[in-house]
Parts: sequence; structure tokens; C-alpha cells
Amino acid sequence: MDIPKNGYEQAAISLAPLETDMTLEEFLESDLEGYEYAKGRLIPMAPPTMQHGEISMNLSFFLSLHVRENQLGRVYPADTDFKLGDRLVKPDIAFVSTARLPENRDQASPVAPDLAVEVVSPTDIQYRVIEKAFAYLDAGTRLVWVIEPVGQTVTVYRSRTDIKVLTYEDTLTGEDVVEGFSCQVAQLFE
Amino acid sequence: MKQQDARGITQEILPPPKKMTLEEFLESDLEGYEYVKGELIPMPPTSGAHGEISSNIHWYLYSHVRSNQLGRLYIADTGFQIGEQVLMPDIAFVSIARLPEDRQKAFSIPPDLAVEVVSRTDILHRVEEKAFAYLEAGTRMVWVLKPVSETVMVYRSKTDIRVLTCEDTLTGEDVVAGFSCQVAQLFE
Repeated sequence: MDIPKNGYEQAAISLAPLETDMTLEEFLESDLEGYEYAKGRLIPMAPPTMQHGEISMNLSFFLSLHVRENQLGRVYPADTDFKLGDRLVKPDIAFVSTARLPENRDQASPVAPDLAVEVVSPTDIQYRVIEKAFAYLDAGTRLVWVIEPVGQTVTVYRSRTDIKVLTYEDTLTGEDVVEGFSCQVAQLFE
Repeated sequence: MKQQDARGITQEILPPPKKMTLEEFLESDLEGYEYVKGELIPMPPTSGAHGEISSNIHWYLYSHVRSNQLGRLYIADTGFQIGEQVLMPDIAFVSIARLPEDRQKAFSIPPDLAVEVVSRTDILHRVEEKAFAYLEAGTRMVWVLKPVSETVMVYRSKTDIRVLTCEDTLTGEDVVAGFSCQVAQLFE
């Protein structure tokens, strides 16, 4: 099987998942880049745009500041691997609380993040974004934020039946997951 | 080894966009396209699941709208001129007061309610852009039905967006007065 090494380049040709017979372990040991993994399928990741980077940067900054000051845990940027059951995902931003931090951090995280953040790219397919949000929740993530630049909204997932949309007039809070954190939704898009 | 999953790749289904003006498009005999800013967007064939959901919501709305003589419902393939775009909502409701007399061509008014059922190939950005385009043109309520999560997004304005889940009730609010159904029923 001939799998292009760079998933970002592959995404420019096609976003269709590549079917393989690779196991999660084989994927983790491979030198493939720019892919997420779900049950044998390699999912090419859309190369991030400037706008995507700006939004991620804004939120990482606000979150890091709060998490560091209050010693709540750690914030991870994109490209950090998290295992969710038999999936491997790379949230744009993730937070893992101190209590849940694995001792060995020289590997993909075996635990789901407490908070996962995805910033939607112009080529993201609606179905996959929702499937990913649910995969996080199923794996034990307590809060998922999906940031949608077109409408300047944040969709907040707590469970399959607790989903809210915040618009640019609202305040985003860490609820009981990143305690004490809050920022204006509008600030993310500045 | 690339394209086993054609559903995952809307972009590749699209032929190179042909440019034409809105007037040329409205006068043409093209079918199965939406028109957005000079470009023709082909509507991909929809899945069985998509059809079932459209058919459910249509059935519930239709019985209510008809028995209360509130207006008319339109199914996919009816073109509405939405600003500089021509869109074909999966289902649209136009109230009696706003029905144009000449209905032989694409509607030049937006529907009161536009319903879109998300397909497997829909790009998230595009769905949002469409919802906002309806609102800007004067549509009073947009429902976006998402089969994966079995949720309905209710858009009333850029700052009034709600998510209803399978435990909630969808209502027509002041747009399809008196209408209600369970969200779960739509995905049965």
C-alpha cells in the first residue's frame, strides 16, 4: 500500500480517508505526518489557514495564562497525539488536569483530554467534526469546544444531549472543567 | 489507493465552476445547481437517510401547515433567490401573506422558514454560510438538521442560535405558529 507520508499534502488532493490495515500501534510507530487515525483509516488533516492559527493562538494564550497561574494542569497545542479508544486524534488545543496527567509523557497521551478544542477549517466536513466531538465525549472528555469562524460561534458539548451554541455576544467559561476560566467569544476572533 | 470513499470528497465531485450572472442563471434551464456569487454549486445526490429525515419533517410540517392554512411548503429543488444567491433548501415554508402571485419562476423572496438536512459531504463552513445568508435575506428562522448527532440547530439571528437534542421539542415559534414535534421523531 502506498500511503503519502504527509497528510497535509494529501488533504490538498483529497480529504477522503485512506483505508489501511494498520493497527493503532503501527500508526504510532510510523513516520506519517498530518493524519488522524480511526479504526484503520487514515484521515488527512486540512492544512491550517492563517485565520485558523490566529484563533488557536488567541485561545491557547488565554487558557495557558489561566491554567498556569492556577496550576490546574497542562495545555497542549495542535499535533499532540491523544488516544481515544481505537482512534488517534490531534485536537487543536487540549487541556489535561493535574490529577489526570500520565506519568510517562514521552508518548501519545493514553488518556483523553479533560477539554478538547477544535477550530473548524474551511474544508472540514460537518459530519466528521460532530463524530470527533462525540468520540471525545465517549472517551471521557468532559468538555468539547468547536470554534466556527464563519459565524463566530463556539459550540459547547458536554454530552450528547447537552450542546449549546455561544455567539460573539456571549462569554465562554471553563465550567467545572477549567475552573475559573472565562473569556469573551468575540476575543477569540480578534 | 485514494478514493474509496467518494462521499468524503465533495470538492472532487465539483466540476470547474462556470461563471455566469444571476440573471443568466435564472433564465437558464440548468437543474440541480445552487448559485453562489457567480458560481454554480452542484447539489450532490442525497442518501437514503437524508431522504427519510427530509420526508419526516416535511410530513409533520405539511399536515400542520395545510390544516391551519398557514401557507405553502416547498421541497428540495425549489429555487429561492437569496441576495446574490439562488439556494434550494431541503424544505421551505412561505406564509400565505408573503406568497408571490407569479410562482412560475424561482422565488424572488426568501422563505419564512428554511430547513437544511446536513449530508455526509457537507462542508461545515458552507452550511453556516447558507444559514446566515437566509437570515440576512429576511428568512425568520432556519433549521439545520444534523443526522450524526440527531440535533437541530435553530437559527433566529447571528446571536440567537440554539441546539435542540433528541430530548427536546422543535416548535414553529412565531414563524409556523402552533407547530411542534419531537426532535427524536425526525430521525426515526
